[in-house]
Amino acid sequence: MGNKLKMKDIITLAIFNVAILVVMVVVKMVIMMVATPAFNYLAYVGVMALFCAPLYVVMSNKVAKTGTLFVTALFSGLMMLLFGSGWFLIVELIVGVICELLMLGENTYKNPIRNGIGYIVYWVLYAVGSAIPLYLFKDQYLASLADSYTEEGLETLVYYGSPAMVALISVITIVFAIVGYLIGCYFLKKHIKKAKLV
Amino acid sequence: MVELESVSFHYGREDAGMLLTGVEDISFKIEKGQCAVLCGRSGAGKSTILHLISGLVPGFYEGQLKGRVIVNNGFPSSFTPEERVATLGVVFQDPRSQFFMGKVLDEIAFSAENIGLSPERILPQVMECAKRLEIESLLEKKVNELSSGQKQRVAIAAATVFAPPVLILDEPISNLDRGGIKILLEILGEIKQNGTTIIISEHRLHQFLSIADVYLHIDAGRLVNKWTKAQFERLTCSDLIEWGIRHPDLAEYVQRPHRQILSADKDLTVEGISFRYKKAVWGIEDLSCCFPAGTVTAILGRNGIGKTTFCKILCGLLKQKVGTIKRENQVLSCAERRASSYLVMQDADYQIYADSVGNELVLGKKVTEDLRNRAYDALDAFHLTALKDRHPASLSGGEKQRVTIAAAYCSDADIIILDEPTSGMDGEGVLSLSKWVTFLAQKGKTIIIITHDDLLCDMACDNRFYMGGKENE
Amino acid sequence: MEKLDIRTHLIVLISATLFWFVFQSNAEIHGLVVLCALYMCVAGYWEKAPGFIMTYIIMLLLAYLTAPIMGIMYVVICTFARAIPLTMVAAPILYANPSRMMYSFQRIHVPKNVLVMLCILIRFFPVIEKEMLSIRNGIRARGIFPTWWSILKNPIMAYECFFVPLTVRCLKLSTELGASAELRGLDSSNPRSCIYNIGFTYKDILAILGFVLGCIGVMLGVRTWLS
Repeated sequence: MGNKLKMKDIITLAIFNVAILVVMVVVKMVIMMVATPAFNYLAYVGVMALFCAPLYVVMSNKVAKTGTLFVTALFSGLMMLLFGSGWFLIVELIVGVICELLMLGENTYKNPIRNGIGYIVYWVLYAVGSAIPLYLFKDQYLASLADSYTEEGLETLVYYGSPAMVALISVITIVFAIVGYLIGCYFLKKHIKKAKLV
Repeated sequence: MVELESVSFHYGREDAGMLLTGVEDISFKIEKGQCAVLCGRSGAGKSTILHLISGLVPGFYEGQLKGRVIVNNGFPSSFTPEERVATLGVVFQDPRSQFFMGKVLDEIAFSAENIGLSPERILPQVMECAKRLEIESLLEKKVNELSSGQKQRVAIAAATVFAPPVLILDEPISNLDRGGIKILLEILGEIKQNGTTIIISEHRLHQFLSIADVYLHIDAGRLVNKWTKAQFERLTCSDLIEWGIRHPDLAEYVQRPHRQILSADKDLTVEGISFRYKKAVWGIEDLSCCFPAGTVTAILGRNGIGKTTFCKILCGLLKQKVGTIKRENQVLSCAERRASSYLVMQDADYQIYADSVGNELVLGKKVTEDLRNRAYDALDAFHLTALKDRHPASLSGGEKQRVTIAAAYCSDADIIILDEPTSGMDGEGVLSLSKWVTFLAQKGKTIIIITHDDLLCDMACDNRFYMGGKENE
Repeated sequence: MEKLDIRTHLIVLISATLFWFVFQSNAEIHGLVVLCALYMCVAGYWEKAPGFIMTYIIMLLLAYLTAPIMGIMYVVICTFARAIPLTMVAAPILYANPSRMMYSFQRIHVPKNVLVMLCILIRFFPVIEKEMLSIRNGIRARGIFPTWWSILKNPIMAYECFFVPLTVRCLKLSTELGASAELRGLDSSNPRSCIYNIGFTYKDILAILGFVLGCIGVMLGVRTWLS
């Protein structure tokens, strides 16, 4: 069977990742509209992880070859490139490589525990990665925002960019990702495996 | 030239312990320039044979293959991509999953670009192909904006741009109206005259009498009959229905029950409905008609005239701009229409949610004694009792549809609308469907069916409503 | 008019992102928006440019109005608004002809698998959106969740009603598209060709230079004006 991604795997990954991206966009829009800004910052990645899980679980079980998580990271990065945050593509490429290193081995994607770890690590890195400008270019970034943001706004931004906050976001993301993944696995068993689709 | 020598194929992997039968011991030969039509019940193995000829089996669809498949003196499963593009043209049934490009011109050139041919070779061929299929005016348009008939011509153009010796079509006329079928047959006739071998899998078989040379009948994975055109034409309805195959005279086979006259109160009256999508050039104008309770009404009309849009308005998914829909002398709002109607979509995959057929029938409702009884009734009436615990997504297309119709029976809806229910259905399926809708109508429901299928109209429909005027049908 | 090469769009996008990072004041971002709008016009998408500009202006107004009320809301809206100029420059890539796009990127040695993924991303994003709308229609047509409240009361069922059809459709689409791809030679090891003329012309160089110089001009101009 081989572990290299064939064209039909590429297409399966592409279709599922497009669906994952659409879900991510919808989740982001809905959260922006209905939740408080605090919840927005802290939990939006977690909620995305929660709702993308069933698609990811089914996809990774169908394809189950090296490169699956990397492609997901690539798609996220590409979408960000086309939506104005090109630097995120580079971040996601690194995230993708890290996740693939985690998933090295035979049939790791079919192993629910290792697949779950991969999934959770992916989203945590995603959350942390979104806050990168606040680290690497902190002073620069703040200075550039000084004009647009009020004093209070800047303070809030710094507050949300502080290591403590990032740790909190990571924890929230891990919790949501675990819950989402478990629901995704249950969904896989109850529906997809029962219908023998994968 | 296409030949199968004692071919057997079983889907699945031996080690997975799950071998689903595909086909068993098939042998036939189709000469160059002939047109062969595969016929048979749904699930008999026609698609498997198409996959064998196109080489998708055993590479793309895994399984165990025995015997030899020879296409144009080569083995399709070991064709290189370049050889495959040059030898085979395949037109699938579903337009949603065929087109990779946005513009028609790009779509036709797609295969050639994939294998790296130079533009100097591609462009003249594309232009000639477009001229042959009379789609020159469509070249700059977006594929999404075309009608079903036009989309199919683009698909055929894309498949035949380099005039491959073999052309395969999977259920090509299931979504076409009468005008579309006529155009398709003309095109296929021309392609055949150029020496292309054509292989078609279809249910509405008598339409192809003008171009078919041989009819290959597949049943339960075996080649059971091989009829020449003349022999097939002579087959009567009773011969064919035994095999589950359609015949134009099938309607005479059906006992039309005596329709009970229900009070006109419960009729659905439509007055002066107009609607237009935001960016559309035209829409539905001033439609008025009546759908009597306890009857089956067919909505007919050429492709693109707005039948599906009208049905969405009827069941409350869309709000009309002008006009009213009344029942029991009360105007129904969108929400009220949604609550009292049930739309069975053409693709059952969009309406299947539960993990077993039983659960699907009672989805979304409190399971009372009454509901449970109704569900068991439905399982019985629709022959689903044996499938009660199966996951709906593992069923065949026809079975899935039965599940959604059974769920309609269990719901509280009085108005049941079916969108092209017999598209891609075999003779047995059409008979069963007409039985189900008659059953539902007898229970007092108002049934509305959008269809192109003359057979279904003859068999099950009490009234016909022509959208766009009768002359357009 | 020969359209600009897709690689030009990519280069301008990268330049815009770099300048975006470097720009410090609001005025510079305004300048960037104007430059991006001009670029969109040059690239042939002048009908779409006003839409983006309107969105930007509305976002700014919203931010201004919410600033005294809620600092954090201002931050959220501002972040959104600041992304608009980059989205404007990315739009020509999104709306580009997939055939031209794949060939251009192949010339800069983007692997074939990534090309196919990009093509599917751009081509099937609206298709999947439509599928989700059909799923929603399917649910409404069955009368299962008549109101928003009923969705909240039954979250598990709502989840299943959405994800079961979506996953089944994705699996089917993958299989059918995959079969179609194989039959149409997408897995060929030959490099792709393209029926359109692809290549850098003087127009591309001019566009890139114009954009970069424009950004530098904006930067210098605003900074001297501010100091």
